[in-house]
Order: sequence, then C-alpha cells, then structure tokens
Amino acid sequence: MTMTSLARRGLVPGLALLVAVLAIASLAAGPVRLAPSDIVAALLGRGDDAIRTIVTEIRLPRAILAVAIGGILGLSGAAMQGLLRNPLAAPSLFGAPQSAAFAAVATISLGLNDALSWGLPVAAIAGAFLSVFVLVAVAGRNASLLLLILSGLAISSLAGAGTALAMNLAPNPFAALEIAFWLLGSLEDRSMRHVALALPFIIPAALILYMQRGAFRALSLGEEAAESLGVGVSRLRLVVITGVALGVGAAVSVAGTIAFIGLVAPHLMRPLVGYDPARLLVPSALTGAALLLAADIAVRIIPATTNIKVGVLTATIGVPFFLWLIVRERRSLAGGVA
Amino acid sequence: MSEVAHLLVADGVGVAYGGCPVVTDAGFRLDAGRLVALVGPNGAGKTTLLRALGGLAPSTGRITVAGTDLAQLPPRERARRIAFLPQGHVVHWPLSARDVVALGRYPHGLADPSRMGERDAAIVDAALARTDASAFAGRQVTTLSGGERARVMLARVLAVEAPILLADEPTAALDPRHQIGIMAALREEARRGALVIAVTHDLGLAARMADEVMVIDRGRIVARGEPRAVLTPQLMRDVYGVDALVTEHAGEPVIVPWTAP
Repeated sequence: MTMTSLARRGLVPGLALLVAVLAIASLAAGPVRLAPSDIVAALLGRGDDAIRTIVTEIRLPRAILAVAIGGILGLSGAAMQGLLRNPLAAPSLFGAPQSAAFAAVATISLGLNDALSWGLPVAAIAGAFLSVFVLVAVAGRNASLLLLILSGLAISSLAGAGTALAMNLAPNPFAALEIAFWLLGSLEDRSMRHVALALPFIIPAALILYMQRGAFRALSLGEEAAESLGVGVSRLRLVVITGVALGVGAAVSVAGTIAFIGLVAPHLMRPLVGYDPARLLVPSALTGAALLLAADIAVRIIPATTNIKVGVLTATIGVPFFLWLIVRERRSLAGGVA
Repeated sequence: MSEVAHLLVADGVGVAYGGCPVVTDAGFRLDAGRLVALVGPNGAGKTTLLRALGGLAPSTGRITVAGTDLAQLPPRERARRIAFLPQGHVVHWPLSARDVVALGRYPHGLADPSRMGERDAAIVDAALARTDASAFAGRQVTTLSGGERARVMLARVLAVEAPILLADEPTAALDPRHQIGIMAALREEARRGALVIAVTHDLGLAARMADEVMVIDRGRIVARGEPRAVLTPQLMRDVYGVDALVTEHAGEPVIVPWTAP
C-alpha cells in the first residue's frame, strides 16, 4: 500500500523529468548534432550564432509543439475515456482529427484561409467539435463499444472522403500536395508562428479538461449516480466535447493528423494510477508529450531517403496497439466482465 | 412558517416519458427517521417516482425537501441532502472499494480521495464499517462478489450523510443473508434519523423491516401505511394478481406469494 502510494506520488515528477530529458534530446537531434552545453548556451542567448538559430528558430518550436500537441492528445484521450467510461475511446478513433483536417483543407481549397491565418485553427476546431458532437449524440448515453467504434468509423470515413474529394478537385499538383500534408502529420519546419497559433487554444483546452477530473471519477458509477452526486452530466458532456475539439483542432491546424497518442497514453498510465479516471489525466498528458517527442526524435534518427512523417510513425505503432487492445477487450467481454 | 416542515413532501407529482404518463398525481408527506418500502409490480413507476424524488427525472407538481423546493436546489446542495443508490451497482473502472465509498464525499467538496482530510476519512471508514465492508476496502470493486459489491455501494451512499436516502432495489440479485443485511443497514440508517425510501420486490422483507409501505400501481399510489395494514391478501390480488399467504411468525408478518390465478 505504501509502496504503491509512493510510486504514485513519484509518477508525475518522474514523467515530467522524462519529458524534460526528451525535450533536450529533441533540441540536440537532427542533421547537426548538438551537445547539451551548446543547447543551454543557445537558449540563454549566448554561443555561436548558427547554433543559436538552429536551436531557437528550428528545433525549439518543434519541441514546444511536440510537448503541447502530445500533451493535449494524451489528455483528450483520457478525458474522452473518462466521459464515455470506455478504454477504447480516443479522439482519433472517432474521426476528430480527420474532421479537423477536412475542415482545414476545405477552407484552404475554397480560398477562405491561408496556412498561417487564425481562420485555420478556428475551422479545424469547428470540424473537430462537429465530429465529436455527432459521435456522442449518435452513440448516446450508455455508449457501447460497438456503437462508439462504428459511429467513429463512419465519421472518420466521411471526413476522409471529403478530404479525398478536395484532393480530387485540386486545381494543380501543388495544391494536392498541400492537402496531403494534413493527412501526414508532421512537426517539421514549424516556426514560433505556429506555436503562437496553437497554444492559445491548447492551453485553455487543457485547463477545461483538467477541471472536470472530479466529475470523471464520479462518472465511474454511471450517469445516474454521478448526477445524484451533483454532476451535471449533459453540461459535462458539452464541456468535454468543447475541450477536446479546441485541443485537437488546434493541434491538427499546425501539425496535421497525429493519431493514436490519445489512445496509447492513457492506456499505459491507467494501471499506475489505480484505474482512477481523475488521477489519469496529468500522467496521460505527460506520457502523450513524451511519446510525441520520442516519435519526433525517431523520425530524425531513422535512416531513410526522405523524411518519415511523425504522424505516419505514430499510426504504424498505434494501429497494431489498437488491434491488441481489441483482442484484450474481446477476451474480457467473452469472460462476461462488464 | 410556524409549522415544522416535513422532510420530504410530494404534491401532485407526475412524470411522463414521451407524452406517456408513468407516474400520476403522487402526493405524500414523509418525516425523518422512517424506512419506507416503495413496492409495486414491474413497470408500475417505482423507479421513476424515486428518480423524480431524487431530482433526477423532470417532474410536474411540487417536491419539497425540508420546506425548500427541490427544483430550486443547486445540484451540489441537492446531492448533500438526497443520497441516491441506483439499481445494478455499476462501476465502470476497477477502483478500490474505499475510493468508491469516498465518492460519497464528492458533494461535500472532496476532489481527490487520495488526499482525504481526517473528517472525510473518518466518515468513509464508518460507512464501510456500518455495511460490514471494511475487510475488503482496499480491493478493486470489480473483483468483489455481488453481495460484497452491494455493501460497498451502500457504504458509498451512507458516506454522503444525507438526511434523505433513496435506494432503488438495493437487495436485487442478492442471497438471503445479504438481502437481510442490506435492509437491516437501511433500517439502522433510519433509526439514526434519516428518511430512507427503498424500492423492493421482496414483500416479506418489506413487511418485516419497513415502518411504512407505499404501494404504487400503474403510476398511482394506491395504498400507504403500516405494512400489516397495507399488505393484505386483497391488495396482493388487486395489485400483483397473485394469491398470497399472509400470516405471522414469531410476532412478525410473513408474506408468501402462492399462486397466480
């Protein structure tokens, strides 16, 4: 008992340390390998000019975005799982990033937005909101696994079809290439401009979701019991959808679709927090940040003729993981455990 | 108000789902310290009435709690005054039994059970002890037997320390020992000063344990009062459509549904 509570107390600081180490590694990794001392000097505004430019203008925005986006994806996954009381719930399975990408692509194709305007995250957030809202509305109050997965599949297919249509109608190959960018999530060549575009949405989203932690715990007993404990369940549903849409929409608008972090991160952390959906939130966010940082470092290290996109890497790891989860759930369902 | 307000008053309460009336014109005044058994056939509206009394189902008419209109109470305040035990004892995550019971302190502002203050911890421990669940407080609820889980869920509503406790079929799917144990714990709660309303199908237990029986049939309260006066062979025929053996053993009422004509 004391051992586990000790381990629990050390969990968040430990994960924070891991994120910090990976963030520094992310500043060091790339075509020009840098020593930690160079990085510290560059961050403090000292040292070689070229190194300073590499660190602060090329690698720092990338590391910040990896932390923010990985963090909000992990947090959104944990929040959705808490709301729907289902370990298979995650924004990416429900078509939220795909819908956000479609909304972004549509506004660009229609000439309503360019890639660095405020309209872009707003459109992406609206797309994500709509998809999660439709999903929760379709799946309803006592969302079963099957209903969630099927409606999520329908929504992401629809968003995918919309994006494909936009590509199909693209006036030239360059436009098609730009659209493809949203499908292959990446943190390459991002600037502080992108950071400034995303953080004003991601930070409030994180706060909104974090503030619902007590309600998620009460929801462990089902909606009726939660309501009787003073949780406004329909209000909670709307708040969580809004938080997830803000976070995922903003993430997609600067980095494209990066899938499965929201599914994997909470799953890794759940046994370590005693399956408590409230205590799950912060460790999931930190794990999401660590996972995306690590993936983004990996794509720079893996030898390949062209750069592998980080979204492709997370999907290649995430999909088998998802399959494994389904197999596990199938066993537990067959075993009759509710 | 010069007159002391009753703890729970329903006045012309009705609930309709999709335009179809489920509960019609329910009216009563109930005071603290009573165990009331709410009985009636399946689909009579017991759960619906209980939900309305808990502020969990939209209803017409008027419900007051210690003189305050239920609809005017903010959710947290309502949750502190009325504890509600739903059917089925659902827990979606394998939380520890103690964490589940600690959720009873949520309406009192307890955000994190791992950082419980002394007072909350004492209340949680006492609730576990009263339902005889202290022994498995550290275990995951999903690993408990049905009877153990029912005791943990009851401890959860006791931990709210609300003056009103509503329980929806708390003894369903339990073995006889646990049925008696749960009802005894509810009666104990009433003796401690709470108003307890329990929906049940176990008429024998209701007749023995409850201070009052309220019979609901097709959405209307058709009888109310002291168990022996209410649960007569005639009522069993009229409401449940069964001939029942109604007798006494060791000074206590015994009801055995016998044949369905």
